[in-house]
Amino acid sequence: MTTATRRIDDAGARSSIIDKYRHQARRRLLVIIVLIALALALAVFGVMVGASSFSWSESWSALWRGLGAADSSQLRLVDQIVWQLRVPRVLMAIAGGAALALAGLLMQTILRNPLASPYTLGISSAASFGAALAIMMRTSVLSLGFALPYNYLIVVNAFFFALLSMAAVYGLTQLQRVTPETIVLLGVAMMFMFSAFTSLIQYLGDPDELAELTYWMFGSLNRTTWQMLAVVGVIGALSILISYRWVWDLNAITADDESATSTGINVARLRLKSMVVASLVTATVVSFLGPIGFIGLVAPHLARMLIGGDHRFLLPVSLVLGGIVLLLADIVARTIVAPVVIPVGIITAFIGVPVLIFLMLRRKGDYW
Amino acid sequence: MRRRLCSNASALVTGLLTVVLVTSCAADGGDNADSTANPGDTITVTDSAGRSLTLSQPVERVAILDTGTATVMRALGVLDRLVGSHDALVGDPLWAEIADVPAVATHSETSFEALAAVRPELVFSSIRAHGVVTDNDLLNNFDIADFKISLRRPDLMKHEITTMGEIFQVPSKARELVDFYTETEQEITARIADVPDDQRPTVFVEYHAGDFNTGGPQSRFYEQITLAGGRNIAADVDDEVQVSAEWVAEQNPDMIIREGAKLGYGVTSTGDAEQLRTEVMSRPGLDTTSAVKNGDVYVLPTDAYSRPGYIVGVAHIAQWLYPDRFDDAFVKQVEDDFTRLFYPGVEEGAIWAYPTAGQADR
Repeated sequence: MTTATRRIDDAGARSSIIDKYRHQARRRLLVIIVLIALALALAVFGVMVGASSFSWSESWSALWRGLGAADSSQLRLVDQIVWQLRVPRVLMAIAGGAALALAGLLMQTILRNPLASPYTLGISSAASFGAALAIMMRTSVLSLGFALPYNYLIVVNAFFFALLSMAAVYGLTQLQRVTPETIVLLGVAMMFMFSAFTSLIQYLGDPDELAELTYWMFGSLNRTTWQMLAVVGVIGALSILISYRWVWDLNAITADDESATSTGINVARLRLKSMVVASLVTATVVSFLGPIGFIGLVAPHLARMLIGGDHRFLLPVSLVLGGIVLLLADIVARTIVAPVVIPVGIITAFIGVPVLIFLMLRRKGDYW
Repeated sequence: MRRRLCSNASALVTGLLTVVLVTSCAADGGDNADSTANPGDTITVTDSAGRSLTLSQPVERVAILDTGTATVMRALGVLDRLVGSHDALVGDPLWAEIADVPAVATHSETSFEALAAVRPELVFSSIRAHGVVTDNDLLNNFDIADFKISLRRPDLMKHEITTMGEIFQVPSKARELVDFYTETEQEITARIADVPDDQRPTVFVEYHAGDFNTGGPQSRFYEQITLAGGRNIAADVDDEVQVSAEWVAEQNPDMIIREGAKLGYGVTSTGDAEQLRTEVMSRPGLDTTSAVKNGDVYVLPTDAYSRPGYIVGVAHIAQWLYPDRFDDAFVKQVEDDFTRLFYPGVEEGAIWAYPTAGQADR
């Protein structure tokens, strides 16, 4: 083969690779656009339906009327239901689901463990313990010098102990080399410790308090307010922006630590930074919504099956899927036997598990 | 499916209770006068789970796995037969007379070893569980009869107290308690008899699980509102469930009752109740209701709503619903009668509701 022929072949191969890459990128972009459109459609649907008897058209009118209202006193009941209850709830489902998906993706990637989730570091157990303390003692663990409303006592306590769990794991990892196995084991230790504390409180508590704690631990969007949404939204958005800057590093760490290190990445530092962001965002969501399980575990897996392991695309798809799954679950939870509300954590599993199994079987190969 | 299951279960339990509790028969012929049993006498009763039990009388050694049973035993004057108590009563100054009785159960667990050690003939266990579940195989090995009881629903309370009176052979005392309930309920009914059903205020009850948890007919939290002259908006809800905020907003109740405040005997501060009320009033969905706008949000302790003290809660609710028909004296009389009958000798004051009629920010 002449040099000229070899050059032509190389150019052809390069062109073929570039075409393939472009095709793949277009496909991934299309998936993202379709998912965003699906999320938007679902959000509008979520605002249209609810436990009250107002029709879709009434809700639709209320949605637009509320946008133009100068003050809340002009609003009718349907307007208030739509703008005070449904809209923040729908947005919270999207924000909360996306935040949990982000945390799950970060944990799965930095630990290289498909079973990792936002709760791997024991954050859910720690937050539950904080909530249990607030419910049983009706006081915050923090002496803030002013009286907090009762529902915020639970939030503050849950957040404090979730961060405490994260800080404990972080502190302990400083004592020895940070490996995925170390982090998982420390997280499991935290989980068992805080679960034991919660069990002790449950054992000592009276039935009234236990009932309230039980419902908190189911996880729910029933109490969502605009203020709560603002907190979750801001922290979630900041976490997403920060994490997106690390997508190339996350791609590199997926293979193994040595390869990532050889490209100049400080693997231990990346692992700890990701752990802190995942924990912060999880602690925020759990404090307001309770420990809603499954989203953070399943959304990144669904995204990988749809779009592959490139974090530039995997991250946004995981976020959108997390929002979609939680939103869909909440719509089902609050409408299927309305006015009864089924705990959303139950529905997320009912919806997510079949989808996950279906995609795994259809894939017929490794995706992890 | 859940609704159907709940409905079927409720119907079954109600049917069983209605049929069997009234068929309890005593060996002494059911005389109203309290009597002493002869050796070898037995009584066959049916518990609140629908199980038939034959007990040798007199029943002298009893253990309890739930606190409400102790309240009724004291009212029946048979607290001296208690040999196994509940952990929540130990050390409580309100229960000084049974301070030496060992605890055999907590809210979460029963100590079968402790239960066996106190050698009761009969144990009153709760059909509401709260984690307290008696294991019949274990109990049978120690020859302990297990009587399951609720003491949480007004419609069943009178039957259950009557049955306990028969078991302890104090039927006249049981009748006195039942008459107190019946006469108070009749008094309330008579005073509001002229209020048409469709003009009675609507009420949303949130029970102690919080967060829009309520109960429909056949639950522990429904009938009290009807007895007080209100219309419980959960009429079409099955059992005890969490409902949607927007449904409550659309129903627009005239009054909201939050059950589960830390009030009752020995309580001197309403701080906890006030905090609870504030939380409910500021909750999305509830703040659009007439109840919140008019300040008609009230809190009651569990002991004055879904326990033997339910009648105290009913009296307060009646006054909140119809302040021109029920004055403070009426409510005070019910409270005093309840204390005299169920907590004789108790000197401690009690706060049973918040805010009381004078405190409400109407």
